[in-house]
Amino acid sequence: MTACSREPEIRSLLDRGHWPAAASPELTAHAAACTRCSQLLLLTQAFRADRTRAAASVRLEAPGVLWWRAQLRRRNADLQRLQRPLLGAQIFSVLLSLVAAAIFLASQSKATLAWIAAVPHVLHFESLLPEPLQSPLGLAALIAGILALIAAVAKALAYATSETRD
Amino acid sequence: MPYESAIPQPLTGDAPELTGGHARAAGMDSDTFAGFYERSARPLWAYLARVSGDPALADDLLQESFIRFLAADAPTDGEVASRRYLFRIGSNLLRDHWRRPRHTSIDEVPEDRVPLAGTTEQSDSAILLGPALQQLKPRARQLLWLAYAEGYSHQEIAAITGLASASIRLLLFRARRQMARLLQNPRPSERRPA
Repeated sequence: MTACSREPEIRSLLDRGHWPAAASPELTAHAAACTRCSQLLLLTQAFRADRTRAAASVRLEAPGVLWWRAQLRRRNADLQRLQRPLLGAQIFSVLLSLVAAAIFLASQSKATLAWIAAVPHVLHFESLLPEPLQSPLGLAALIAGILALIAAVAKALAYATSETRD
Repeated sequence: MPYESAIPQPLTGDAPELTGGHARAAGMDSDTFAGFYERSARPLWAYLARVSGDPALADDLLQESFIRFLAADAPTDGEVASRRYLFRIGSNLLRDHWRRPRHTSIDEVPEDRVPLAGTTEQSDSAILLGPALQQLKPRARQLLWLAYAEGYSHQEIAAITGLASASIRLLLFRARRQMARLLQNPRPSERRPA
Protein backbone atom coordinates (compact mmCIF):
# COMPACT_ATOMS: atom_id res chain seq x y z
CA MET A 1 0.00 0.00 0.00
CA THR A 2 3.08 2.26 -0.27
CA ALA A 3 2.43 5.45 -2.20
CA CYS A 4 4.69 6.66 -4.98
CA SER A 5 6.32 10.06 -4.45
CA ARG A 6 5.47 11.10 -8.04
CA GLU A 7 1.75 10.39 -7.62
CA PRO A 8 0.76 13.91 -6.45
CA GLU A 9 2.57 15.39 -9.44
CA ILE A 10 0.67 13.19 -11.88
CA ARG A 11 -2.60 13.74 -10.05
CA SER A 12 -2.13 17.49 -10.25
CA LEU A 13 -1.54 17.33 -14.02
CA LEU A 14 -4.62 15.13 -14.43
CA ASP A 15 -6.79 17.47 -12.34
CA ARG A 16 -5.77 20.45 -14.47
CA GLY A 17 -6.25 18.49 -17.70
CA HIS A 18 -2.60 18.90 -18.62
CA TRP A 19 -1.70 15.22 -18.85
CA PRO A 20 0.21 14.12 -20.92
CA ALA A 21 0.87 17.39 -22.77
CA ALA A 22 2.56 19.18 -19.87
CA ALA A 23 4.33 16.10 -18.47
CA SER A 24 8.07 15.79 -18.88
CA PRO A 25 9.33 12.74 -20.83
CA GLU A 26 10.95 11.53 -17.62
CA LEU A 27 7.60 11.66 -15.76
CA THR A 28 5.83 9.90 -18.63
CA ALA A 29 8.45 7.16 -18.56
CA HIS A 30 8.07 6.85 -14.80
CA ALA A 31 4.29 6.58 -15.10
CA ALA A 32 4.66 3.76 -17.60
CA ALA A 33 7.01 1.82 -15.33
CA CYS A 34 5.43 2.48 -11.90
CA THR A 35 2.46 0.27 -10.99
CA ARG A 36 0.87 2.86 -8.69
CA CYS A 37 1.15 5.69 -11.18
CA SER A 38 -0.01 3.62 -14.15
CA GLN A 39 -3.05 2.49 -12.13
CA LEU A 40 -3.76 6.10 -11.20
CA LEU A 41 -3.61 7.12 -14.86
CA LEU A 42 -5.72 4.20 -16.08
CA LEU A 43 -8.47 4.66 -13.51
CA THR A 44 -8.58 8.45 -13.61
CA GLN A 45 -8.80 8.58 -17.39
CA ALA A 46 -11.40 5.78 -17.57
CA PHE A 47 -13.60 7.22 -14.82
CA ARG A 48 -13.43 10.81 -16.06
CA ALA A 49 -14.24 9.80 -19.63
CA ASP A 50 -17.21 7.83 -18.35
CA ARG A 51 -18.29 10.71 -16.11
CA THR A 52 -18.25 13.12 -19.06
CA ARG A 53 -20.30 10.78 -21.24
CA ALA A 54 -22.78 9.90 -18.50
CA ALA A 55 -23.26 13.54 -17.57
CA ALA A 56 -23.94 14.46 -21.21
CA SER A 57 -26.63 11.80 -21.56
CA VAL A 58 -28.92 12.93 -18.73
CA ARG A 59 -32.08 15.03 -19.26
CA LEU A 60 -32.47 17.33 -16.30
CA GLU A 61 -35.65 18.57 -14.69
CA ALA A 62 -36.06 22.36 -14.63
CA PRO A 63 -34.47 23.78 -11.47
CA GLY A 64 -37.61 25.86 -10.76
CA VAL A 65 -39.68 22.69 -10.32
CA LEU A 66 -37.30 21.32 -7.71
CA TRP A 67 -37.12 24.72 -6.03
CA TRP A 68 -40.88 24.91 -5.54
CA ARG A 69 -41.17 21.30 -4.47
CA ALA A 70 -38.53 21.97 -1.83
CA GLN A 71 -40.39 25.09 -0.68
CA LEU A 72 -43.60 23.10 -0.33
CA ARG A 73 -41.81 20.41 1.63
CA ARG A 74 -40.31 23.01 3.96
CA ARG A 75 -43.72 24.55 4.49
CA ASN A 76 -45.32 21.17 5.22
CA ALA A 77 -42.52 20.31 7.62
CA ASP A 78 -43.04 23.64 9.41
CA LEU A 79 -46.77 22.98 9.70
CA GLN A 80 -46.20 19.48 11.04
CA ARG A 81 -43.73 20.84 13.57
CA LEU A 82 -46.32 23.35 14.71
CA GLN A 83 -49.11 20.80 14.91
CA ARG A 84 -47.11 18.40 17.05
CA PRO A 85 -47.56 20.32 20.35
CA LEU A 86 -51.24 20.93 19.51
CA LEU A 87 -51.82 17.21 19.07
CA GLY A 88 -50.03 16.57 22.37
CA ALA A 89 -52.26 19.08 24.14
CA GLN A 90 -55.37 17.46 22.66
CA ILE A 91 -54.32 13.98 23.78
CA PHE A 92 -53.52 15.34 27.24
CA SER A 93 -56.92 17.04 27.59
CA VAL A 94 -58.80 13.90 26.47
CA LEU A 95 -56.88 11.77 28.97
CA LEU A 96 -57.56 14.31 31.70
CA SER A 97 -61.29 14.27 30.91
CA LEU A 98 -61.37 10.47 30.96
CA VAL A 99 -59.62 10.33 34.31
CA ALA A 100 -62.00 12.97 35.76
CA ALA A 101 -65.02 11.05 34.43
CA ALA A 102 -63.71 7.79 35.91
CA ILE A 103 -63.14 9.42 39.30
CA PHE A 104 -66.60 10.96 39.23
CA LEU A 105 -68.28 7.67 38.30
CA ALA A 106 -66.33 5.77 40.95
CA SER A 107 -67.35 8.30 43.62
CA GLN A 108 -70.99 8.15 42.53
CA SER A 109 -71.14 4.41 41.82
CA LYS A 110 -73.56 3.56 44.65
CA ALA A 111 -75.99 6.35 43.82
CA THR A 112 -75.72 5.55 40.07
CA LEU A 113 -76.44 1.86 40.58
CA ALA A 114 -79.39 2.72 42.85
CA TRP A 115 -80.74 5.09 40.18
CA ILE A 116 -80.33 2.45 37.47
CA ALA A 117 -82.09 -0.11 39.67
CA ALA A 118 -85.03 2.30 40.12
CA VAL A 119 -85.49 2.90 36.37
CA PRO A 120 -87.65 -0.22 35.65
CA HIS A 121 -89.92 0.59 38.59
CA VAL A 122 -90.35 4.21 37.47
CA LEU A 123 -91.08 3.20 33.88
CA HIS A 124 -93.09 0.12 34.91
CA PHE A 125 -91.35 -2.38 32.62
CA GLU A 126 -89.68 -4.60 35.24
CA SER A 127 -91.96 -7.50 34.24
CA LEU A 128 -90.62 -7.31 30.67
CA LEU A 129 -87.03 -7.86 31.79
CA PRO A 130 -85.68 -11.39 32.24
CA GLU A 131 -84.57 -12.37 35.75
CA PRO A 132 -80.76 -11.89 35.26
CA LEU A 133 -81.20 -8.32 33.96
CA GLN A 134 -83.26 -7.16 36.92
CA SER A 135 -80.19 -6.58 39.13
CA PRO A 136 -78.49 -3.15 38.94
CA LEU A 137 -75.42 -4.63 37.18
CA GLY A 138 -77.60 -6.45 34.65
CA LEU A 139 -79.46 -3.25 33.92
CA ALA A 140 -76.18 -1.35 33.54
CA ALA A 141 -75.01 -3.99 31.02
CA LEU A 142 -78.32 -3.69 29.15
CA ILE A 143 -78.04 0.11 28.95
CA ALA A 144 -74.41 -0.17 27.82
CA GLY A 145 -75.45 -2.67 25.12
CA ILE A 146 -78.21 -0.38 23.87
CA LEU A 147 -75.77 2.57 23.73
CA ALA A 148 -73.22 0.44 21.88
CA LEU A 149 -75.91 -0.62 19.38
CA ILE A 150 -76.88 3.03 18.80
CA ALA A 151 -73.21 3.95 18.30
CA ALA A 152 -72.75 1.08 15.81
CA VAL A 153 -75.84 2.09 13.83
CA ALA A 154 -74.68 5.72 13.79
CA LYS A 155 -71.26 4.64 12.58
CA ALA A 156 -72.79 2.46 9.85
CA LEU A 157 -75.03 5.34 8.73
CA ALA A 158 -72.07 7.76 8.65
CA TYR A 159 -70.06 5.25 6.62
CA ALA A 160 -72.92 4.64 4.17
CA THR A 161 -73.48 8.37 3.76
CA SER A 162 -69.82 9.04 3.07
CA GLU A 163 -69.73 6.21 0.50
CA THR A 164 -72.79 7.70 -1.23
CA ARG A 165 -71.14 11.13 -1.24
CA ASP A 166 -67.98 9.71 -2.89
CA MET B 1 -44.36 43.43 20.78
CA PRO B 2 -46.55 43.16 17.65
CA TYR B 3 -48.64 39.98 17.72
CA GLU B 4 -47.58 38.97 14.17
CA SER B 5 -44.06 38.24 15.40
CA ALA B 6 -45.44 35.76 17.94
CA ILE B 7 -47.34 33.78 15.30
CA PRO B 8 -45.30 31.31 13.27
CA GLN B 9 -45.02 32.31 9.62
CA PRO B 10 -46.77 29.26 8.14
CA LEU B 11 -49.88 30.19 10.14
CA THR B 12 -49.88 33.84 9.18
CA GLY B 13 -49.95 32.81 5.52
CA ASP B 14 -47.11 35.13 4.52
CA ALA B 15 -44.23 32.69 4.70
CA PRO B 16 -41.49 34.41 2.69
CA GLU B 17 -40.44 31.22 0.96
CA LEU B 18 -43.72 31.14 -0.96
CA THR B 19 -44.00 34.79 -1.84
CA GLY B 20 -41.78 34.98 -4.87
CA GLY B 21 -38.42 34.48 -6.50
CA HIS B 22 -36.49 36.19 -3.71
CA ALA B 23 -37.08 33.32 -1.27
CA ARG B 24 -33.99 31.58 0.09
CA ALA B 25 -33.23 27.96 0.87
CA ALA B 26 -29.92 26.30 1.71
CA GLY B 27 -28.43 29.81 1.76
CA MET B 28 -29.34 30.39 -1.89
CA ASP B 29 -31.96 32.34 -3.77
CA SER B 30 -33.68 30.69 -6.72
CA ASP B 31 -31.29 32.17 -9.30
CA THR B 32 -28.20 31.07 -7.41
CA PHE B 33 -29.75 27.64 -7.02
CA ALA B 34 -30.41 27.41 -10.76
CA GLY B 35 -26.71 28.03 -11.44
CA PHE B 36 -25.62 25.56 -8.78
CA TYR B 37 -28.05 22.96 -10.13
CA GLU B 38 -26.76 23.45 -13.67
CA ARG B 39 -23.19 22.80 -12.52
CA SER B 40 -23.85 20.00 -10.02
CA ALA B 41 -26.77 17.94 -11.31
CA ARG B 42 -24.95 16.15 -14.13
CA PRO B 43 -21.95 15.01 -12.04
CA LEU B 44 -24.30 13.89 -9.29
CA TRP B 45 -26.47 11.96 -11.76
CA ALA B 46 -23.39 10.28 -13.23
CA TYR B 47 -22.31 9.25 -9.74
CA LEU B 48 -25.73 7.89 -8.78
CA ALA B 49 -26.23 6.11 -12.11
CA ARG B 50 -22.83 4.44 -12.23
CA VAL B 51 -22.74 3.43 -8.58
CA SER B 52 -26.31 2.10 -8.56
CA GLY B 53 -26.14 0.73 -12.12
CA ASP B 54 -29.71 1.98 -12.66
CA PRO B 55 -30.31 5.24 -14.61
CA ALA B 56 -34.01 5.38 -13.64
CA LEU B 57 -33.13 5.12 -9.96
CA ALA B 58 -30.50 7.82 -10.48
CA ASP B 59 -33.20 10.14 -11.89
CA ASP B 60 -35.32 9.69 -8.76
CA LEU B 61 -32.44 10.01 -6.33
CA LEU B 62 -31.13 13.10 -8.11
CA GLN B 63 -34.40 14.95 -7.62
CA GLU B 64 -34.75 13.80 -4.04
CA SER B 65 -31.15 14.85 -3.30
CA PHE B 66 -31.74 18.40 -4.50
CA ILE B 67 -35.06 18.71 -2.69
CA ARG B 68 -33.48 17.52 0.55
CA PHE B 69 -30.53 19.82 -0.05
CA LEU B 70 -32.86 22.80 -0.35
CA ALA B 71 -35.05 21.75 2.55
CA ALA B 72 -32.08 21.23 4.88
CA ASP B 73 -29.71 23.70 6.47
CA ALA B 74 -27.02 23.19 3.89
CA PRO B 75 -23.53 24.65 4.38
CA THR B 76 -23.22 28.24 3.25
CA ASP B 77 -19.43 28.37 2.92
CA GLY B 78 -19.09 28.08 -0.82
CA GLU B 79 -20.05 25.89 -3.72
CA VAL B 80 -17.41 23.23 -3.05
CA ALA B 81 -18.85 22.57 0.40
CA SER B 82 -22.40 22.66 -0.97
CA ARG B 83 -21.53 20.13 -3.65
CA ARG B 84 -19.87 17.85 -1.10
CA TYR B 85 -22.98 18.09 1.04
CA LEU B 86 -25.13 17.26 -1.98
CA PHE B 87 -23.03 14.16 -2.69
CA ARG B 88 -23.42 13.19 0.93
CA ILE B 89 -27.20 13.37 0.63
CA GLY B 90 -27.05 11.30 -2.57
CA SER B 91 -24.82 8.72 -0.87
CA ASN B 92 -27.23 8.45 2.06
CA LEU B 93 -30.15 7.96 -0.32
CA LEU B 94 -28.22 5.23 -2.14
CA ARG B 95 -27.44 3.52 1.16
CA ASP B 96 -31.10 3.71 2.18
CA HIS B 97 -32.08 2.21 -1.16
CA TRP B 98 -29.69 -0.72 -0.72
CA ARG B 99 -30.91 -1.33 2.81
CA ARG B 100 -34.59 -1.30 1.86
CA PRO B 101 -36.12 -4.75 1.45
CA ARG B 102 -37.03 -5.44 -2.14
CA HIS B 103 -40.63 -6.54 -2.63
CA THR B 104 -41.02 -5.33 -6.19
CA SER B 105 -41.37 -8.05 -8.74
CA ILE B 106 -39.85 -7.44 -12.17
CA ASP B 107 -43.38 -7.73 -13.60
CA GLU B 108 -44.43 -4.66 -11.60
CA VAL B 109 -41.67 -2.43 -12.98
CA PRO B 110 -42.81 -0.25 -15.90
CA GLU B 111 -41.05 -1.19 -19.13
CA ASP B 112 -39.43 2.19 -19.62
CA ARG B 113 -37.67 1.80 -16.28
CA VAL B 114 -35.80 -1.35 -17.23
CA PRO B 115 -32.35 -0.47 -18.55
CA LEU B 116 -31.89 -2.10 -21.93
CA ALA B 117 -28.68 -3.51 -23.24
CA GLY B 118 -27.33 -1.59 -26.19
CA THR B 119 -29.17 1.70 -25.62
CA THR B 120 -27.48 4.84 -26.87
CA GLU B 121 -26.55 5.67 -23.30
CA GLN B 122 -24.09 2.82 -23.27
CA SER B 123 -21.12 4.56 -24.75
CA ASP B 124 -17.70 3.13 -25.54
CA SER B 125 -16.31 3.90 -22.12
CA ALA B 126 -19.41 2.49 -20.43
CA ILE B 127 -18.89 -0.69 -22.44
CA LEU B 128 -15.43 -0.92 -20.94
CA LEU B 129 -16.05 0.58 -17.51
CA GLY B 130 -19.62 -0.59 -16.91
CA PRO B 131 -19.05 -4.37 -16.79
CA ALA B 132 -15.92 -3.88 -14.72
CA LEU B 133 -17.81 -1.64 -12.30
CA GLN B 134 -20.64 -4.14 -12.06
CA GLN B 135 -18.21 -6.78 -10.84
CA LEU B 136 -17.30 -4.66 -7.83
CA LYS B 137 -19.27 -4.27 -4.63
CA PRO B 138 -21.40 -1.10 -4.40
CA ARG B 139 -19.14 0.33 -1.72
CA ALA B 140 -16.06 -0.14 -3.91
CA ARG B 141 -17.85 1.44 -6.90
CA GLN B 142 -18.80 4.38 -4.72
CA LEU B 143 -15.29 4.94 -3.38
CA LEU B 144 -13.66 4.60 -6.79
CA TRP B 145 -16.09 7.02 -8.39
CA LEU B 146 -15.62 9.64 -5.69
CA ALA B 147 -11.84 9.30 -5.82
CA TYR B 148 -11.21 9.03 -9.56
CA ALA B 149 -14.21 10.57 -11.31
CA GLU B 150 -14.79 13.38 -8.81
CA GLY B 151 -11.22 13.69 -7.53
CA TYR B 152 -12.16 13.86 -3.85
CA SER B 153 -9.50 13.34 -1.17
CA HIS B 154 -9.76 10.62 1.48
CA GLN B 155 -11.02 13.17 4.03
CA GLU B 156 -13.69 14.41 1.65
CA ILE B 157 -14.78 10.85 0.83
CA ALA B 158 -14.96 10.17 4.56
CA ALA B 159 -17.23 13.20 5.00
CA ILE B 160 -19.46 12.09 2.12
CA THR B 161 -19.74 8.40 2.96
CA GLY B 162 -19.53 8.57 6.75
CA LEU B 163 -16.68 6.06 6.82
CA ALA B 164 -13.44 6.52 8.74
CA SER B 165 -10.61 8.02 6.73
CA ALA B 166 -8.30 5.11 7.61
CA SER B 167 -10.85 2.56 6.33
CA ILE B 168 -11.18 4.47 3.09
CA ARG B 169 -7.46 4.27 2.45
CA LEU B 170 -7.52 0.48 2.74
CA LEU B 171 -10.82 -0.05 0.90
CA LEU B 172 -9.76 2.25 -1.90
CA PHE B 173 -6.42 0.50 -2.26
CA ARG B 174 -8.16 -2.87 -2.70
CA ALA B 175 -10.81 -1.49 -5.03
CA ARG B 176 -8.24 0.30 -7.14
CA ARG B 177 -6.14 -2.84 -7.55
CA GLN B 178 -9.20 -4.90 -8.47
CA MET B 179 -10.51 -2.31 -10.90
CA ALA B 180 -7.13 -1.88 -12.61
CA ARG B 181 -6.95 -5.66 -13.06
CA LEU B 182 -10.46 -5.73 -14.54
CA LEU B 183 -9.71 -2.86 -16.92
CA GLN B 184 -6.39 -4.28 -18.03
CA ASN B 185 -7.70 -7.81 -18.50
CA PRO B 186 -11.36 -7.58 -19.46
CA ARG B 187 -13.24 -10.82 -20.03
CA PRO B 188 -13.50 -11.69 -23.75
CA SER B 189 -17.19 -10.71 -23.90
CA GLU B 190 -16.37 -7.22 -22.56
CA ARG B 191 -13.62 -6.42 -25.03
CA ARG B 192 -14.32 -3.69 -27.51
CA PRO B 193 -14.76 -5.03 -31.04
CA ALA B 194 -11.76 -4.29 -33.28
